Amino acid sequence: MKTLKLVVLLSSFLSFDLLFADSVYVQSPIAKLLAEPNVASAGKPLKAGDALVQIGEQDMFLKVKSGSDTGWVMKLYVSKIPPSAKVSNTGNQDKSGAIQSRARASTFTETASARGLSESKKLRTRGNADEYDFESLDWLDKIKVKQEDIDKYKEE
Amino acid sequence: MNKVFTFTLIVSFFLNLSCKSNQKTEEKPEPPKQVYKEIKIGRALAAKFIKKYGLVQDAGQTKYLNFVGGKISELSPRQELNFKFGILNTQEVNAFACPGGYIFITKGALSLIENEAELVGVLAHEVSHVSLFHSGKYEAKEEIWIDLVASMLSPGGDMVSTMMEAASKELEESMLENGRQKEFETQADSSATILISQLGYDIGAYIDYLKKMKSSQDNQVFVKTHPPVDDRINSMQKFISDQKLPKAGKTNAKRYRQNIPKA
Repeated sequence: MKTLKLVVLLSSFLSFDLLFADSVYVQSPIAKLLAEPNVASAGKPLKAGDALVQIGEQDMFLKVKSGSDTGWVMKLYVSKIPPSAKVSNTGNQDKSGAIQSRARASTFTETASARGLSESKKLRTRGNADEYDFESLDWLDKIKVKQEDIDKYKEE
Repeated sequence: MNKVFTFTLIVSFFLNLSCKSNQKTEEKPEPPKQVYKEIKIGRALAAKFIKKYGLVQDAGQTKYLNFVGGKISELSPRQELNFKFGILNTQEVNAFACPGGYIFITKGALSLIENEAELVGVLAHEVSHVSLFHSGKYEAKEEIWIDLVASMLSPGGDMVSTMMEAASKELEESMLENGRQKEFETQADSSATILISQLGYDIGAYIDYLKKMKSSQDNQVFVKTHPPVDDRINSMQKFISDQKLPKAGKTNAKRYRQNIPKA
């Protein structure tokens, strides 16, 4: 009995997230908790960031619990990834790796120079550099739609 | 003992609740590592497509594409991604969705498209592939070597590991040779009709575009990698009817033509 109580006590300190192993998170601003698996059915708006517990699935819809309510939500509006900061496509290296790498950069650079490797912009692949064009991809990454552009796109 | 036990249980319960509410008020955290891995693989695949076909570096047309695509990606559940839309320099009629949010449409497809509603349909289909993780979920196994070396490169440097090369090659084959699972194409079409109608566009325009693709002389890759157009249209029309989606909507033909001149 004492062992059982100890186990229960210890497990109560675990994050209650374990109870939400099948959580999905509302990501789209137009998501609704629908009465039926049909976009035309009655529904109450959901907030971006809301955590829902998935309890079923049918075609393009998930059956979920939102607090005490049960209903359906479109798969397209939820994600198993919780709401997160936007990732830059070009500066997406893991920060912990970057911190470690600075400590070893000098060693690497010496070795790289010794092996005739070029400066940092050169693509390094496992032998198939000719198959990639990252420079043009960088051009695409720099394209930004500014307000002055949007102002030109008048609705008809 | 029983009192201590009960007290501890109650305190830990409220502590957990408190942690949850604190998370909601804090700034958004970094996404999980698999997102970074997905973007790396997506960049490798995107760079491959660009090398194969060439990228149309027309700022005006590309900005317009990103303006239209941006309206669609705002409704996507992948808000941690920076979707980018580009034009591939080939007369083949096709569009591609790379993991991480790089979406490409070909010059051939743009010349077949006659209005913005058709464009929204094509881009919404591709965004849906990314939104629904049709290219995989990318387990976040650490690639410490690749992360360390890649992070030493100055901005703009890229590195492709053996894993990334294998993954991008497999995806390239599925997009150019074998095609995705039929179920994924059906889901992407259904999702596209939802997005089109949510944005107020004419759903029929996307169906018209698919019919034009079927008749195009430059559709070999598209035909190889997608289910028959008639099957897709039948599935979409059933979905539209079951979901009672409004069929009529705007087309913005003039705005499309102002920004994507006829070839």
